[in-house]
Amino acid sequence: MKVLLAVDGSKYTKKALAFLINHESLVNSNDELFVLNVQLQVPARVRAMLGSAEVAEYHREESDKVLNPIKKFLDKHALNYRCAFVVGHPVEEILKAAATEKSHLLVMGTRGHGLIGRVLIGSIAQRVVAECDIPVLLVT
Amino acid sequence: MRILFAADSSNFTKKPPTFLTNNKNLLGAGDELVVLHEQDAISAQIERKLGSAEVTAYRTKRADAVLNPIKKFLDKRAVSSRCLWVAGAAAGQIIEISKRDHAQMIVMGVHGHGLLSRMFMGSVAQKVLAESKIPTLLVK
Repeated sequence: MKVLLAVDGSKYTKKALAFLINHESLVNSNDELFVLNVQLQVPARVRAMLGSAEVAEYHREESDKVLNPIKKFLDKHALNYRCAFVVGHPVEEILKAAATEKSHLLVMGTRGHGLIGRVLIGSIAQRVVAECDIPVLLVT
Repeated sequence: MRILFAADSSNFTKKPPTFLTNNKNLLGAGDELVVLHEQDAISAQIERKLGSAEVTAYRTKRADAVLNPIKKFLDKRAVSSRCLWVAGAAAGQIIEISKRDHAQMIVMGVHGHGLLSRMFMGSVAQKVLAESKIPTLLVK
């Protein structure tokens, strides 16, 4: 099975990883795990001020902060995975990745860094579920 | 893994078991699928008028109509399963039974057609997501 895991480094990312690993049935060495981190675009004005090289460097650093611990974790569990980051809108990028990767299952948190409280489902998860054609596993 | 599948009576009921059984690593030997069919509440007034025996007979019949085909489907694929049904307050019951039966994941079908339903997941799915402590798999 091809699994797409959308990560932002929040506690839900950790929970999703723990769930995937604890249930070997979900991802084992025969499966392909694609870990995607979506970085929000820096406002155009800031981009113009800093220069695109600086901004690219910033995104790389930020994504490393999210992805490096995950890589370490997945290496330890000897899983077949790839990591990537893109800059853009999370909903669009997640949907795009699910399509291009031909994923069978999408795993993400019900919310990311932004929201506190248990009443709401994050708007990103909400929109992804609404527009995604493949099953979505939401980790709370 | 023990999975709780919340089955309403819509067209979307067939998708989740199909996805689960197609991906053998999700429901293999040693795993169990608890199939929970939730029925709408009937107003107390109508229930009084009909008499509780009548209502129970009606509910049992409807539950059988939903659960029997699922049971047959799962038996054919040699998935160990247990069927039950409840009436009223679907989300709360799903959470409660997932706890009682120590489910590790909840699976629900979500509606994917029409503009409105594309924007919102069902209210039951929303409530389950907000309150569940275990991951929820939404299948379209």
